[in-house]
Amino acid sequence: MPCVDKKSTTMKATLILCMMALVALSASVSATMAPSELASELASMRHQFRDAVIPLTDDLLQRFVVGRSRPYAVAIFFTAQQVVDSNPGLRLDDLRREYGLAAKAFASGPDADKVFFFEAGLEVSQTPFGMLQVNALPCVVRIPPGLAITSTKAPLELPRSEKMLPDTIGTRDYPWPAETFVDFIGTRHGVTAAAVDRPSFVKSPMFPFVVLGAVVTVLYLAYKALTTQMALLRSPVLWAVLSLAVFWFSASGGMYNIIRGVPFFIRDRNGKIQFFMTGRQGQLGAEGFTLGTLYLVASCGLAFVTYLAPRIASAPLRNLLSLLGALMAAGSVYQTFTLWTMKTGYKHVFYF
Amino acid sequence: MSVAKTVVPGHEQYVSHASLFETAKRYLMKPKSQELLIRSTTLILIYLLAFCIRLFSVLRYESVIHEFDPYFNYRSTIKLVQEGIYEFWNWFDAESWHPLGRVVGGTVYPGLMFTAGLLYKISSFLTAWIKLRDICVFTAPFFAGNTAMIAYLFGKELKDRETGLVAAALMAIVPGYISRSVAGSFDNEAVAIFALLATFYLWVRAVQRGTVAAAVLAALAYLYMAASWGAYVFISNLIPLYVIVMFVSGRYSRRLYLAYTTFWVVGSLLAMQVRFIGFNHVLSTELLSFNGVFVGLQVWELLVFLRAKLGARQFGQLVYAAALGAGGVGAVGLAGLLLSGKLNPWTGRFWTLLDPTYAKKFIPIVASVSEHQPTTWASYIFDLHGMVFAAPAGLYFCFKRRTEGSIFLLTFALTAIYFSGIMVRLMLVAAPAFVLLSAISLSSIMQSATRELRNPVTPPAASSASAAAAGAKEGSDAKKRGAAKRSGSSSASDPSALPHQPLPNALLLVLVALGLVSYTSHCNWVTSEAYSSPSIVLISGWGPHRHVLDDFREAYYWLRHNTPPGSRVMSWWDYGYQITAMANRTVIVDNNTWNNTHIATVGRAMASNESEAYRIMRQLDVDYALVIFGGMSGYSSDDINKFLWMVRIGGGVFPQVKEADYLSNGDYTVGASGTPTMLNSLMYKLSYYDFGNIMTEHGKGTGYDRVRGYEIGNKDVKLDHLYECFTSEHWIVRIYKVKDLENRA
Repeated sequence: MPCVDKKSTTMKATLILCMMALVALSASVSATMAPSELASELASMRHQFRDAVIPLTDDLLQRFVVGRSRPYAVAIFFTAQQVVDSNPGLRLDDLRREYGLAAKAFASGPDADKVFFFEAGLEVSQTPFGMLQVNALPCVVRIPPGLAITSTKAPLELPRSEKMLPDTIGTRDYPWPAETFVDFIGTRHGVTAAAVDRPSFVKSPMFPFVVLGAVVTVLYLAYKALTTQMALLRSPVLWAVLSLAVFWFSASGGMYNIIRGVPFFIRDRNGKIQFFMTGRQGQLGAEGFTLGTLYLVASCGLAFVTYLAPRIASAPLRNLLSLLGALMAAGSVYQTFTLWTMKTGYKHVFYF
Repeated sequence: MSVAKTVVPGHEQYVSHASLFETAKRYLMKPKSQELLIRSTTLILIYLLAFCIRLFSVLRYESVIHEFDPYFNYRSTIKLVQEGIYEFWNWFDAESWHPLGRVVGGTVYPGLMFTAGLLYKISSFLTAWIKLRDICVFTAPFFAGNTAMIAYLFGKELKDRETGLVAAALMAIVPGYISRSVAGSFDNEAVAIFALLATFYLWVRAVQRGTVAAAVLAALAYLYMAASWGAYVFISNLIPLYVIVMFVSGRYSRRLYLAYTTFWVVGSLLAMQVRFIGFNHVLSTELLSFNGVFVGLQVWELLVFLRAKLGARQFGQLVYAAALGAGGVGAVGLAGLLLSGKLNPWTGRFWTLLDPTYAKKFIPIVASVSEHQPTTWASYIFDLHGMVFAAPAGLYFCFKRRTEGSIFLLTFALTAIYFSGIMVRLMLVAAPAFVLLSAISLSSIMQSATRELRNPVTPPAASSASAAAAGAKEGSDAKKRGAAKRSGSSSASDPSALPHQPLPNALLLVLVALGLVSYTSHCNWVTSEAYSSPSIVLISGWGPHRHVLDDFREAYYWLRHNTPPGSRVMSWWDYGYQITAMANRTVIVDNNTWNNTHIATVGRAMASNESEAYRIMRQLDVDYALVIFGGMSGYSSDDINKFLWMVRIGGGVFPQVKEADYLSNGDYTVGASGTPTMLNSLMYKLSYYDFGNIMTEHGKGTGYDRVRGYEIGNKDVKLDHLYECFTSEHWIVRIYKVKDLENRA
């Protein structure tokens, strides 16, 4: 703000004072509260979240983590939305899901009150990041119960054995499965968890019905196909559409997207969505499928002009549609080559 | 001449005293002979074009064998020519994979070597004394010309002659195929694509003719393919798939039955003669469909036969009993074969085609090869250019006019296009499919557009004359000539005379013409820029700043002339074939990669510290260690950049090698922040020995690595168990002698 008047300055000062008072109060509350009450409060808080992972705020950090000791261990998963979006290769979403599974396993286990799971987002607060000196993701830490933490401002030195980093855990089975989390956070320290319950389609009560439905449908289709002399199987339109789909999928690099696990789009540093990746290697999902569609549009224009248009009886209409088809084909070919030049930097192509 | 003497009504009488000029003139006046002349001239020019466009590397560098695998093929061809077929057949190569050796005769596809050997014998017989190396260098362009001719025949079989010509022209210069067939790339694919297309063409011909002779011809082409390239499995899965498709679509015929049965019997027997294939052809699961469809066809024919002989009721009872019995026997038999291990498990490379993520997860040695990477949309433009747009229109045509040939093309094209998306390398197989589809659509477009341009308002009789006149005016193009004939007939049969429609059709013709010109120049440029570097001789810079880096051959010849003949050289597997072929020295591992453990041992040695590596090298009897280093010259595909793969492959067998030890904060670096394990590894030491004292670039400190773009971490490299004995001119190849054990007092 270029001009700040007196009133707002005083307001700010009051606000800061209030906040300080609040922090002091909460610190004193946590100091006065019995340890078991803290644990039970956390346990009730945990129930509000679907996967038993509590988002970490400055307030929670101050109340439940800072202190001479705690009756429970604290696990913190560090994340940042910008990193999640811009580095799909890190697969932080998958890692977070496994972390949540581990949290649920502990929450439903016999030692539910001995460990609590938090998630620190860079957007929510930067304090935990500063406190634990986290500057690279993925990072998960375990703060042992006996570790004294005096303040959120002072850097906290954790031994390497309490940090889950690619260096310490290894990248062999990355993203680490929930079992790795359970072992690292609990089992090594004698805290036991329930078995990890992975949500799976097979376990859902709907599964037998879906299987039954699929079997019936397949049988019905097979019966239909056989009784009607395989009319459907022999319909060239169906096959033509299918083969165009195969072409479209392959030529747009669909397999590349699957094998490399490429996202549809990425965000750049400013959070703007990017659909197109320049450079000779790699592609994005949306980019590939757009280009695959352009290939097909050009081709359909050609096919229309060659095979369908000459059959139109009315001369002006035929003339107009042929012209439109040819223009459409030429336009998409031109567009494709423009994009190709933009991507690869090869400026050689003549005419197109 | 006797034919010409007989007087045919309407033809001019043969005049014996006519001059040669007059005879030629009269001959050239006939449209039919004009067409033939133009067509054959075009084909000859296409053949020459296919050959010549692949000579960039010979003109720019010299007649030299390229890359890695071709050196093994070259070495094998020398063996074959010098010592004869039987020696080659039984060849046990003790110079590679020390101390294991390799049974080359039984683990090689010999088609390429036999081809080159045969060409050499023929040229010697004709007293054309061409060096064997030159024969090998020019085999690929020669076969590219042959492939273009096959494309002509195939196109002709699929649609018409004009399509054949377009197909031949497109095939001659398609970059996806050129990438594997430039002069000097003496690799299996060079002849295999010819064999592949020839098999397909002869197969379609066999199905259409329905004769035993045609099917045997196709089986012979299949033998050539099976002897040349492992992708013969593609053929022996595609043809059964085609039979199934024909069966399901209700187009099954006796001709198909005859063709397939003959092809199966003759083709299997012939392919089994290749030692590398042998009984795999019957037992392997990869060929299950090939054999299964054969059995299925026999059962079907038996049923048809029985139903003709028995009544409907008896037949029903028989089928019921037989189906129960066959199902039981089949299940027991299959289980027995699987349990006893007679049915081979599916090999990894084949698995990747079905489950694309398989290789990435489980087999680092497959994932490490760059040509096994999946394909992006940009590669399709790069390797096929305008054909990406033309091919789907060809698909449409095939669906519209479903003949035996076009259904085969559909099956071939769809599988090839699908697989090309999984591996860049398979673009090679997809290229012929794209060529044929595009040829169909392009020739249809040109035919339809020229037909419309030729004013069909006039009555049919006049129209054909005017069409012929227009054709003559438009001149030398055979395609248009054919179209002219067609336009005559079609407008005659078409009752609704279409008025003159110049604009859209002219636009379309211009578009196609521009597209083809653009395609040609693109192919030319891609061949020249991307696919013609031999990668054994390197050129950097342009014009007056041009440098030729011939370090590889310099180093290999140094090894050849300065080391004892039985010396064993340890290097990463990429250079194995080159060392055995050019330096004539024994290597520990090479590009055959048949023994992953052995490769992992070498990877482990490279990744270990010097004393541990010394122990491993003593165990492997290594005399020399060779590394490729680009930090001085800026050659970026050097061993330091490949090093993580050595670690991964080594770690896959020896768990003590951990990738994380070589990464500092997840980054792979040899700079000051590199991990101690990295900076003490044998690979680091051999690459950067003495490099710390060197200024490589103006304004940078000593030890500035020009590939990585920073100064190296440990500039003071000391070697205890090895000493440097050779470094090539631009430091690309560095060779170290492994010291003997010290004398004990």
